[in-house]
Amino acid sequence: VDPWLLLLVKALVGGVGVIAFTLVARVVKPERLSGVFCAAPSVAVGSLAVVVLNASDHEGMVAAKGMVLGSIALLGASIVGALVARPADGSAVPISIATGITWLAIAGVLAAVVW
Amino acid sequence: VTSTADRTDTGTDSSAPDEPLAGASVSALRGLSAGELGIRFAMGAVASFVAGLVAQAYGARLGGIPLALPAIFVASITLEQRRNSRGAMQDQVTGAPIGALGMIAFAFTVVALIERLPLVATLALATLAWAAVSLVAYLVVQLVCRPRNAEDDSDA
Repeated sequence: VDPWLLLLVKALVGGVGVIAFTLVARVVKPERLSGVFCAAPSVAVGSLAVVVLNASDHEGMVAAKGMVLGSIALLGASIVGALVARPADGSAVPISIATGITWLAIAGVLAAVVW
Repeated sequence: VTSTADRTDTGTDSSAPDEPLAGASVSALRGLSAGELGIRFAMGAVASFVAGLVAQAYGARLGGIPLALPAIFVASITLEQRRNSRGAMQDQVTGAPIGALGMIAFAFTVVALIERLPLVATLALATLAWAAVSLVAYLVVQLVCRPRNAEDDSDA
């Protein structure tokens, strides 16, 4: 399969996955519980499916091992985001920056240590 | 990945003492706009595209890391800020670490099952693992925090 076509399929499937989880999150009550869907596997489900269908189960397993590291980084980054949110006066910008930088840092360190 | 278009509160704690711990309301779907769904679709597509690019450039193992990119989290809190709904934004911020715990369970489940079970079964079980771990963690947090919030309210 053409690599660019594969990227396009992954992007479309990822977008549809996010919409699907958004609809479920919208139905779930109370709102605090629906906040959990901010860290749902909405992108991962579709991407892993495309990887397995295009390559192999083993390739999917290798990608999921990488996702374990990304998920640990997401846990650390979202905790930092929650800590930043308290004094941030309701602005999404400092939370987003802190979360993004922390995710990159933890994921980078984990990848370097594990591999 | 949630949205609360009808909420424009400015408080930081949106849980009411008599609110059920968990439930569902299909009527809430009416408040979703096509524009918001479009933004979320675009963020999901971009995150998947980036993960795919990394996988093509550096292999599946490194490409798996961005599958847990906090892109949807950032999009969600930005949408809530634009809506001036600080309470809803706080829900996203406090919910994200709980969902992230579930994401770790999701990824481990895929690693354990993907070479043993059909793809659909593996992804379904992994999503169930995410939901189960997230729900248990959420309930534990609520049960621990609710008595404290009630005490604070009675003191005030």
